[in-house]
Amino acid sequence: MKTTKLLGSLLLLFGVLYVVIGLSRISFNVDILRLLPAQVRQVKGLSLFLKNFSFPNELIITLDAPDPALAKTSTETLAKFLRQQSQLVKNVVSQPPWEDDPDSLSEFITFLLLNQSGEKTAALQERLSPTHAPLALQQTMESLETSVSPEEIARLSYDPYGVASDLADTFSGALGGMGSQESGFSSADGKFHVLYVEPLHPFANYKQTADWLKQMKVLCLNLPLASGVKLGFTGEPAFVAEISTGMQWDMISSGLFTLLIISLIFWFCYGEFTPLFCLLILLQLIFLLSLATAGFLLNQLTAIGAGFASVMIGLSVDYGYFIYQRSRHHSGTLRDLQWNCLQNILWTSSTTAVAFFALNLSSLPGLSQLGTMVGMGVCIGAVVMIGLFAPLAKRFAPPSRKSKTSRLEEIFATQRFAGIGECAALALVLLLLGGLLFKGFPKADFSISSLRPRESASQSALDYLVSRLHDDPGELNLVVSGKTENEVLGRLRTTQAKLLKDQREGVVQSFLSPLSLWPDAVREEENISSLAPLAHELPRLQQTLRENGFKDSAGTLTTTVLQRIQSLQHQPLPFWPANETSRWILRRVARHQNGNYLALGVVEPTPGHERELADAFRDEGIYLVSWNQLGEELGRTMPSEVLHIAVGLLTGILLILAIGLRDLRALLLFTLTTALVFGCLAGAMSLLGMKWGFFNLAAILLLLGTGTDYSILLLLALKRNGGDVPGARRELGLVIFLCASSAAAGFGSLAWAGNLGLASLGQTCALGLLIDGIISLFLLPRAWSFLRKTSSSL
Amino acid sequence: MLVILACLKLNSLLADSAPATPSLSLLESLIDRQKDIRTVSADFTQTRTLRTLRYPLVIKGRLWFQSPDQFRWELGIPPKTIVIGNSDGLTVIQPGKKQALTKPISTFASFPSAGSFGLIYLSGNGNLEEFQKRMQVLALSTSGSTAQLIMLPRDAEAARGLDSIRLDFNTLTGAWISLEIVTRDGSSIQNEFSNVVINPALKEGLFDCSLKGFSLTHENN
Repeated sequence: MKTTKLLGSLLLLFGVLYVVIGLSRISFNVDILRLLPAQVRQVKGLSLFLKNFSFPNELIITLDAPDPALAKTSTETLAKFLRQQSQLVKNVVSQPPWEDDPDSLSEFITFLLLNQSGEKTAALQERLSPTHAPLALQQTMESLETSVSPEEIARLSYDPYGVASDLADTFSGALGGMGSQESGFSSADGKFHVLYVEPLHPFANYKQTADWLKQMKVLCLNLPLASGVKLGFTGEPAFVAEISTGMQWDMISSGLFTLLIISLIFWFCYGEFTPLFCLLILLQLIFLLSLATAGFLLNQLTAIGAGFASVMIGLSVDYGYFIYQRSRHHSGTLRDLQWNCLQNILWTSSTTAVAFFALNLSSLPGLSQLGTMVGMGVCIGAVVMIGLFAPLAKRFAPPSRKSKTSRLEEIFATQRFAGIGECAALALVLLLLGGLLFKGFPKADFSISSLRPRESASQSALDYLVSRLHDDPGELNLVVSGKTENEVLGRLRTTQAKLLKDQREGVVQSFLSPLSLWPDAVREEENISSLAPLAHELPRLQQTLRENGFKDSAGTLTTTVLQRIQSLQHQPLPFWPANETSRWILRRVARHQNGNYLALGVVEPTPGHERELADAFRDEGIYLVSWNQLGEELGRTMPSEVLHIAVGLLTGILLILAIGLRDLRALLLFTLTTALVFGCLAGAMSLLGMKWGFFNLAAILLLLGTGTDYSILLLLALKRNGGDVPGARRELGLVIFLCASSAAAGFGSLAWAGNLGLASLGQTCALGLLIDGIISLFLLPRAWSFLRKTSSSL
Repeated sequence: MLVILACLKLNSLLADSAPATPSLSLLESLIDRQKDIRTVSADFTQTRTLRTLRYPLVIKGRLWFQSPDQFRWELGIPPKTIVIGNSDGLTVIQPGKKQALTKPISTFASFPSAGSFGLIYLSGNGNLEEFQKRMQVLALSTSGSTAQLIMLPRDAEAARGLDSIRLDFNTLTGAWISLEIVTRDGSSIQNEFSNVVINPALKEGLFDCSLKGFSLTHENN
């Protein structure tokens, strides 16, 4: 006895530790690309883009004002205020770094000079030669006197030798300009400004991110800015905080909603509190054990994976219902009850688990994760229910025969109810098939918006930011990756040649290539050897400036650049500029870390040629991607993939049933029932205006795994009892009702999930399960009788 | 130097109603009375004082304006640079180099004085409210018989790099003294006006561009 208690205590302790450690390992991944097939080129390219060019520790605050002057002063006030929050904020950037410190551009100018062509370098050498330097300055002076371009006046007054004169195209062409608008700080009308805020410490987890963002919002929104000034919050921290907390809420709320529905159904059927209480406790135990197991096995929970709780509870409770219903009519020992239940639950739980695990065959990682988690949950649920709930159910089973019948069981046993049910089911099927006939199959929607949160302040702020700072949402991102700088350089050259050809042929309207901003070690070495000696001639160059009417300050850029080039003579190449200004310019154009080199450009395709263009760039390490193209590519690949898995799964189920049923008629009925369910589901979706998308396509697989249980159970019962339809209904009517309604509640609770993909999956599955339950319960037995009579008369 | 044109229009009105105290209502009344101006011609002396130059660059020039939006500006006598424009765009001509550049109206911000380009429109048919939608009045002060209006374009691109636009005029006679554009690095371009004539008869074809033999470049947005 003592040993048993000790073992029990140890088991309990182990269980608690397992759950605590497992749960502590759970973290959320908010990247929607993690839900999509990694081998799809658009996903690969966009993942590279987001992984390398997004900033996990950069909050973007947008400021919108009715007046440009007000927007500017409010931005300055907000930036100053945030810089004072040293307990929360490390850095605030509200204008291009070079606006306050133009000298800081000299490093970047050096970088561009070193990578310009040999011809341009030769021209610069000549311009700075003793013979030509005075002439160059005279020309500059004339331009300063007569130019009407403020940019030209500003540039020439600080660069009278024209050291950077050949770089203007590189600046404007590759960066899209150096103004505030082009560099992402304000809109053209000046009414919209952007601040980039870096937290004091990098975030360790999503909870820290959410807490920090909450404090930042409170601070900013309580700042007395002028009326009409509106703030928005976006960027990685805002998304992480919003989506992670949303996922947490989805998981908890849908799980609780499912438990509530289950409680109501159970109470309605049996009117008993204690077994219901035990059932709920065990469902929560199953949930915790499943989640803890997920914590050990999975790295991060995705938005779709977070939906597992309600689905798993809705399915696991089926076993509880089955055991409880059996226990009420069971007069043998506990071991007998458990054995009896195991024989039935093994069939249904294994087909369900297999169906969910089969989601791993899908290339959608989010769906695979959902499948793994629900599959695990179903297995844990079956074990917990048979191991723990069966003894409790046996203990709570009423002794008297009369009270063993539940309120609903009596109704399900009546012939009248069966008749009404058959008529209603037939009418429903006709209605849905009619809907399918007249309205056609549900439309497909593979746009990326179906993967995003239903309501997202961060997304709205980002969309608004993009609309204010960029004018072409149809552009494609050019992502070029490689293991070395030279590899990327080679790919950039190939890409540039191809884009120029496409531009000539009218496929491309314009493009910004990062080639001019990618270092070429060979060219850098040549240019250093050409320009470095000029540093020795700086005194002459300064003297020439003075003689031609310029102050010494006019030669600052020339001096800085030439001295820097001289200092690079014995440095390893290629040279990457690294000061704050250079980093800010390059941060959205290039990444260079050991073994990870990426360049980013923008291509504006001619309308109508987007897909053709994206498909044409398929060389290794070169991606032309956009969210729209991602949606198109997935729309092309996903339906056939789901169809292949569904056919494989159906074949597997039919094989298992062929062994289990050993009856061709039953197999035929099962196939017909399944086909009818899918036909009716399509009709229902058409009538309700629902669309097929990435995730509710998987409903086909889930319905094959879960919904088919109802028809399998009925066919098994009919075969077992020699075709006694009323007997089978008496035995399973209530169970199927309970299972279908609780599973539909589980999936249905996801209809309000924050993630639209998860919500559509929940809605479609709930609808499919209800249809499956109704058809299996009312029409399948009738069809069985009909076939039996037909074969007898033959 | 488009702002000059507007200022010249204001000039005549200021001459009629010199204010006693600096007030925005003064601007309002002046602006309202500009509707009578059809044409303007004037001479100017431009002084460019740049931070990196040892001495200022001084050049003379002439300008013409015709309501509602046509203008011709010649920098240098004989002209080294000519700018001809209207609300559709402008053409920058360099006769010595036989080069010309056309720009759409949206790139007026790149024109030296275009930060205050809104004044052109305001001068013809605007009011104080319209003026303030385009220009931010930073200060309006008087010192003896001289008044100084300091302003900035509200358009962010037009105001980029500018510290202020300063207009000096005589409060007693309304005569323009100067218009100065000050950049954020402390450089300035100052224009001093002379021979201002309101509603003169302008030569036919003054605002036409004859670019035969010129190398022409078109600049887009």
